[in-house]
Amino acid sequence: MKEPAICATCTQKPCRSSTERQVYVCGWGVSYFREGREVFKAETPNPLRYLSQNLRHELSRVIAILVRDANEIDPSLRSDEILLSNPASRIIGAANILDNFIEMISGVHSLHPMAHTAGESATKTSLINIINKYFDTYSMINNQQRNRNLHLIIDQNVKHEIIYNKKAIEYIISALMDNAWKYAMENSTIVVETSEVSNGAVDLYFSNYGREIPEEIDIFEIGAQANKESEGFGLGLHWATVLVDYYNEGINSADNPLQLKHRQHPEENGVWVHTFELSNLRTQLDP
Amino acid sequence: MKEKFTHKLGQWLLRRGKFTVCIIDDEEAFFTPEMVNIASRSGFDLIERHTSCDQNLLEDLIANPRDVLILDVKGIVAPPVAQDGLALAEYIYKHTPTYVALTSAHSFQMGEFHKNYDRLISDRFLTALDFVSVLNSILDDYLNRKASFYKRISLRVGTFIIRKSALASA
Repeated sequence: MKEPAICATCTQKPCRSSTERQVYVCGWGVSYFREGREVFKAETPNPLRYLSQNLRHELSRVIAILVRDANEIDPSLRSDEILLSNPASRIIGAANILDNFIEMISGVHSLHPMAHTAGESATKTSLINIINKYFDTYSMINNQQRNRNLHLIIDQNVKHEIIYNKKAIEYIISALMDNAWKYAMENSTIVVETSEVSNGAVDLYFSNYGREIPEEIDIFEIGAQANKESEGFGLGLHWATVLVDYYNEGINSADNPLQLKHRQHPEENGVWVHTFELSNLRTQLDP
Repeated sequence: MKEKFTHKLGQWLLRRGKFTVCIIDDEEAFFTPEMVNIASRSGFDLIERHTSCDQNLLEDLIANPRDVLILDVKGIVAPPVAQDGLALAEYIYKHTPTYVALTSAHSFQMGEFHKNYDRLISDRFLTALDFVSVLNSILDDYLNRKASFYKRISLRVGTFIIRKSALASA
């Protein structure tokens, strides 16, 4: 049976490490089972990627209408900065959230490195701007499960511009910020710092206060939830790791690959400090 | 008064350099008239906006190459003019000196065509000011890679003056 063409774009190859003689359907919509070294595959009639392409195609025009009309209300708007005091700017922020959500639901497949070989976004990609943008954007969602008051401190040494695959890095940062608004302690502080690695690469650290995550839970695994009351569905951080793979495939570097790691350590009174480290991020210093 | 004069001088130089931009996108919510208007006030006043490319437009793009062509990948063209936006981009890229920029909601389709365009505009949802930033970035890249000597001088000086006057009035 001929292998589906879409398999050529898959970098993770979950099929190769799957349990033998069990049928699965991967994120690309390919059904498969493994026998020894051989993996037998067939496409489902309506693979997930067709649905996600359709979703992306139809909703993109709706999001564009939101942006257009917000811009009509206020022609001075920019999409790389959200002003919480400006309703039109908040509409742009909401459109960003929708766009990120579509990416997550469609499995971030549109951010595969093959799609970006011609170059990157034409606009400047300041790391500080991205961090502030998504901190403000995700502060807009208010419900009982989310924080209402967090503080953001960005270390003064964070002065870098993203020079490769800005969309992937934006998504990863947006996932971390969304998680902070969901799970950090109310009235606590998120701290963002960097340390230089080499040749412009930096390690980026996001730290926040929260509850302990049980050791047995791998928070990067699809569907992982630290507890049953979690608002999230365990998709955001998983897709962030997929983007890390895509990023590394695009830079084609076995040395100093981008990595996303999490660690936690206890502080006083049952509070834990969670640190997400995005290491070997390709940047240049903002002039 | 002085800033107004220098801004107008910059615009005049840009007009002398005749930086022409052609946009073809079937979705009217993208690259709206308001965006084109604001871009025009920033010095980019030779922008055409089309929703599709027919045979007449294609022949015109070949006979009178624009400096920059911004194309949507899907929905703007049909056979016999071209198979799709990618095919159209490839044809124009190979047969004219035009700087070709692609835009799409489905950018993953473009991977294998990376040799047939100059820029992928990955930001999909642009405000008017975002669009001006995109045009400025494209202009810089165009001047570095594809512009003739005379055009380069006129456009570089014009954009320098305009950006300086924008900073002064900010």
